[in-house]
Amino acid sequence: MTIVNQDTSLGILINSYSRAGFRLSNGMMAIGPIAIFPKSVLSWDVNTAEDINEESLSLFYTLEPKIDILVIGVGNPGQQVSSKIIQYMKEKHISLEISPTETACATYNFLNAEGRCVAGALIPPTQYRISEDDIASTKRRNRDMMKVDDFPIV
Amino acid sequence: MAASGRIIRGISSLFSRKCCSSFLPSKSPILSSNAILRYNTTESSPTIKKVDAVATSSLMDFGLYVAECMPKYVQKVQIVTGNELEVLVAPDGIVPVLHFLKDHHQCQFASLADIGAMDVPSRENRFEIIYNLLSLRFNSRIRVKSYTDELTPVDSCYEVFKAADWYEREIWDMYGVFFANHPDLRRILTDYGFEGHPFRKDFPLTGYVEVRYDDEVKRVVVEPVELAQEFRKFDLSSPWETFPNLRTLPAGTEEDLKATQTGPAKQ
Repeated sequence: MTIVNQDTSLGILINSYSRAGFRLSNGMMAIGPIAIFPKSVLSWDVNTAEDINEESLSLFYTLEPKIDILVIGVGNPGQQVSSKIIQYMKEKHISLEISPTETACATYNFLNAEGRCVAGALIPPTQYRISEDDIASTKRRNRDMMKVDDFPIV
Repeated sequence: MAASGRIIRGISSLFSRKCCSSFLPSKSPILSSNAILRYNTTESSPTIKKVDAVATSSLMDFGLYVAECMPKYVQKVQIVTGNELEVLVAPDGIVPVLHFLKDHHQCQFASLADIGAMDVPSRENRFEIIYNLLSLRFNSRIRVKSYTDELTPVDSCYEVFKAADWYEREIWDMYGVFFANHPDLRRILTDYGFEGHPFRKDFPLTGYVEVRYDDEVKRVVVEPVELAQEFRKFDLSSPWETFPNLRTLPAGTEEDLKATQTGPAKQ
């Protein structure tokens, strides 16, 4: 995934996510919920998935050219988006793809790589699985691979 | 060569489950009728599937055994198309029955071959969920069927069979049946912004939207479907009989569970 993400012509892709925020392919780290587009990323003012209302989504439907798909990452699996909002976006002719953030990041990445007009609205998850590979890449980034610590830094 | 062949056949008959009791080690290695291939030139209709009455009755015995072991959930047991056993269960009992069929020593249906669904809009519980299981140990198959409607979720059998993951995603995507406790229930076959559940009977064959490349905006746009030609339905029935060999087919046998249950029904 890291090698694919280094192709800058595809736009900004998401390298990894954590409880704090997201690391993007252009080297930036975004903290908190984000609204991500192929060429730019903004911080998004929303607390949890239930708090998404018309105002928080107003950015996505006022943009030109109109986006085809809005990928919403609701954080932990099981969070719901209110059905009125889903109906509202359907009236605005924007397709929604609502899923937990873990899968929403990957969905945004390959929809973007395919070249479709897609935007992402992602809330960082609070619970997710950590693999040994994640711990190793964090250590490599922080340049302390030799250090043995009790609490993995993610 | 012939001696080793006889020993192999003897072992296979040792493992075959003729009735629901335990193995019969004292059975002599007699060749069963369907164990060897032999040219039979006196056969009248070789393309019609032969129904083995002994095998069918032992299959029915096994079906009744399953019904006796799980009396709370199993509602009906039937044999369709001559040799296929079906167990009809209540939706609450899908996971317990599948767990039983997978782990019980006399069943050992460890392989989930498929999960399918069927939409019958006229019924109250319009969707039928169908689990096809295969027992490698006993070389037999069984089908577990249950029902649900559009809004009631069904328990996912992911803890029992890991293979159920994508099958249940497919049923969610195509029919709209929600599976509770599924690790990752999202669309698998339809496009990302797609709305609707295509395998439902009220979803039209041509769909609601079509995609095309619009040169003005230089991207693919999604528009309501416009058919240049109206939908043609061909009536392909012919006045001549097409399959004369299949005039009479073996009927499926059902066993009324209440008539055969003694202990559990009296509770």
